[in-house]
Amino acid sequence: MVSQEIHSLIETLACDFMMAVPEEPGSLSGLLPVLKQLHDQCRSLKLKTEAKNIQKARKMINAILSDPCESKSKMTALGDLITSFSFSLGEMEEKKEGSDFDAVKVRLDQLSGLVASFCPGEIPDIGAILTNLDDLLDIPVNDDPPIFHDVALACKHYVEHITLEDIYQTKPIEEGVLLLRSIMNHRKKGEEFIFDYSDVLELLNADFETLKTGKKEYLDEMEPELTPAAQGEPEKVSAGDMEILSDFVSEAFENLDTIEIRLIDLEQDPVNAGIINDIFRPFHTIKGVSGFLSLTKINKLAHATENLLDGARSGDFIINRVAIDAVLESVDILKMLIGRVGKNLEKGFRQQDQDIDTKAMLEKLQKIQVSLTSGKKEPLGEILIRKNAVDRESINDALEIQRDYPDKKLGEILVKEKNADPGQIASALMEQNPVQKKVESQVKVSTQKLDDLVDYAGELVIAQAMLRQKTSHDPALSQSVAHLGQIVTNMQNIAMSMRMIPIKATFMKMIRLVRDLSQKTGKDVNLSMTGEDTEIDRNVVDALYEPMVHMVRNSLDHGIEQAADRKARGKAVQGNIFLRAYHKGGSIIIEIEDDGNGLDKERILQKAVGMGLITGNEQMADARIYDLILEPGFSTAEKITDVSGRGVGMDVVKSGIEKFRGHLAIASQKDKGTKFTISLPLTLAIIDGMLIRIGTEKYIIPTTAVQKAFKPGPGDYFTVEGRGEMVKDRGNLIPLIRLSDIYKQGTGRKPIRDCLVVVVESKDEKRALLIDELLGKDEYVIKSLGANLVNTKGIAGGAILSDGRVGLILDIHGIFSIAEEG
Amino acid sequence: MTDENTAMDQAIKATTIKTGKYLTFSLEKEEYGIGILKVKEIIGMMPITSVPRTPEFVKGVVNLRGKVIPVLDLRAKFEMPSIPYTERTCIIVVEIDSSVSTILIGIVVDSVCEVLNIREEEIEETPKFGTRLKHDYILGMAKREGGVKILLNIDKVLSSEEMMEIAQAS
Repeated sequence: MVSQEIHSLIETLACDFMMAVPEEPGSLSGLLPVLKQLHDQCRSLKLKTEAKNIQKARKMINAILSDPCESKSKMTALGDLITSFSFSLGEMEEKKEGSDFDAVKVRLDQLSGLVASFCPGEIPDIGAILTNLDDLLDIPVNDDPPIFHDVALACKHYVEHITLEDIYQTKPIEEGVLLLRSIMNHRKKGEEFIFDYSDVLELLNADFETLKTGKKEYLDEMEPELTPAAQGEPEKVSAGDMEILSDFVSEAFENLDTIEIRLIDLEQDPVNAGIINDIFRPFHTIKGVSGFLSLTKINKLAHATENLLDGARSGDFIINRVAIDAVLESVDILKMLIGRVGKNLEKGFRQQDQDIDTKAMLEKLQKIQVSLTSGKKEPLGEILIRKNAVDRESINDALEIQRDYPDKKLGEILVKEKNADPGQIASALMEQNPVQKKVESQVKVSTQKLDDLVDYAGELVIAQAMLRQKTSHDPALSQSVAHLGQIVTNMQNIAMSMRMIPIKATFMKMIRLVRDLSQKTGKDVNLSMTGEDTEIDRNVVDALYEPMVHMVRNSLDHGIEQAADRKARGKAVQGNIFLRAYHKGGSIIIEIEDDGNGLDKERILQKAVGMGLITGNEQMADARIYDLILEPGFSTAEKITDVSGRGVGMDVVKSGIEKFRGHLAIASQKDKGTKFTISLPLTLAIIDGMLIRIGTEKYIIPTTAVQKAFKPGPGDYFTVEGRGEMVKDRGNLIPLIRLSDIYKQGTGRKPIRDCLVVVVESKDEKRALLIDELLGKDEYVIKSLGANLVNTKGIAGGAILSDGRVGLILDIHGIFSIAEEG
Repeated sequence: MTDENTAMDQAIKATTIKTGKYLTFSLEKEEYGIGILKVKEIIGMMPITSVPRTPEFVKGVVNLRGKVIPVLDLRAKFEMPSIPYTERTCIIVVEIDSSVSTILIGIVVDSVCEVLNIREEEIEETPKFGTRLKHDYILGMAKREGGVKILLNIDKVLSSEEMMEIAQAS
């Protein structure tokens, strides 16, 4: 197989040449022996022109080596030369192998691909189709009678007409290609092709005049960016297209998110076919659907990326970091493009994406695919060396031993020679042959339906409670009702749990963030996560994302030190960021911890005094000091990077978390690290509340706000100027709010001794609420009041009470501000 | 495509042409009509939880099979004297198109009468009442043997400025 040798030589040559640096002409000397071999091969094959070119290249390299000035331009010339003869040799090789049916098949496959993705008006595509057909015609196949030749010729004829007459029908060629395929299959088996194919020929030789008139209609359906005349004028989208397009947008975004996550996995484990498949498939979907929707740019980019991955999938090469970077970049561009589609869709227009450039990306992807040379599964030894488990020497020793005892495994030898412990080998083997993780099958359901289910489940509980009351006198009946109650409760729990999703997706996005940022800042940072499977309400997940991004950014930018500083402090060079999620009580806790600088108390205090937040004389607990960084505009960062450090943020993070009834705590140790702890309620749908009565109405106070409830004694009540009311609680005076005044409930003011006082807190302010009665404590499903009542001040929402009526949930903060306004 | 278009055309016609079925109800001594397609259901009076700090005509909220929906009193809305609720008092649940989505709102009426088929020619333009009476939410007047029915554009009744004020008042 001489040609194969030439092939591999060309590849080595191309690689070596790419590695060569213009500034160091010496690096070219490595090319000389390769060229010599290639030259000999060509000579033996009597390829005179190629041999001559190779000789010329050798002379050029010698010239560069002896005279390094202007090496850059010479290098370019050399590059051109090498490409030209590599190309012609490659061609030749293909032609040589192409004497059998396989070559025809390859061409036909390419051709059907081209035809399928053909977009009218794309001259390069037509060119490619024509070359392909020419090649088909040139391949000498045992073609007698020359049907194959005839059909191919007819196809070519038709395609030529496409260019000349602007015809937008590809159906005849598709038929033609199909016919060619079946002819070829028959020929391959040595059978006679006896079917009638005159209809296809007729199609191909169709009356072009009629097609031309048909073209006009077709044109009307075309996208503006494909017909130059209509360019710039966005086309309105019809209702049907709108639906398909918006489905595509949401699905594509989802797909791209999965891709991102899996790409990071792939980086850890570049040979895992399962992961590559997981990435490949969504790209394939995007490509397919976008092609169908004539979103050309998206289609092309997805296609190019898919090609790259396909190479990896079929084991042609191993994906490396560069390739992953490129794919990630392509994901970003795709997101931008698809986002544009979505945005324009809202306005009812087709996409306009002329300003987004995909060309550079396409070229880059192609280049990477070319440069990735063939490789196989990463050898176990390499993995072990990479993981610092063993040194190269012992691997080489082990390989030596393996040569003598070929049936022994490398791992076995290493363990026997005491060069590695079995655990390390096992983990390396796991990396080499990873186990596919089990994925549960899932169904997509609209959130509306889920909410409805929760609503009905809640109603069922109420109906069941009423039934129980009415049947309590009948033991047999109440037993059945109790059974029913159990089922209903289970059902409600399941309905509620359906709103929960694992926090994994959010955590995974952080991986990408850390990866990008660590590259940007030049810090080596390892992100470790625990509890990714912790489930959390989907609304909370969305709310968590932004604050987490912010805090991870802070940790990486301000927290983790540069490598040199870390060394000086005696820490490992690689910084660590930990993400943890777990349940605690009725809350979900999310921790973001780094082992970096830690917060500098002195600096924070200085800054706070400078900003006038504190006087500097206070005695402050550590936690209070750290809380200062949550004030608006607070930043101790000396320099503003493009990553973070503008002082807007931590206050936004705090208010974002508090909006969801959550809490943010900071713990830190100077030079050791900082830990942010977010605690959030498990779900936003359920609230722990105390049921109270004011007048005739029942209200719910969120338990989190309640500090205590007591009956005021005779000496606990004071007034200021007869109006401002206060109660005394353990020596503290607390302003009193009469809810009956605010809610215009009840008739007149009751004497204070007949009432109860509930002390509530919101944003560090305490007030005492005067209520009539405390009815109990329970969990309530929060419901929106709907329509325009959503923003009613002092009311956070409604909940269905056990008697089926609606109870209003109090918004403590809103009540405070109403009371202040008077 | 053509099916879609005809369906669309019909929908457009239905909104512009006033011909169609109307649910009529009484308020005081007047009779009103709402396009039947707007009506989701009719429920009897049920306990209403009043929401503080909202305009007079917002009666409060009720539990409609697990969903909390606001209820308005149309008498109060049209500034008629209020009367105690009787067993004929009903809540008509209507679907309102808002900018974001369709929302359900209950309206309290004295009693529900019937469903009428009203033809275009029976409907007369709303007469001008001057500035005394805003009538942009009145579709027209239907002349029937029993008297005149006032046809309401319920979307406008409930999404007019007053409704906006609910949000602002709070």
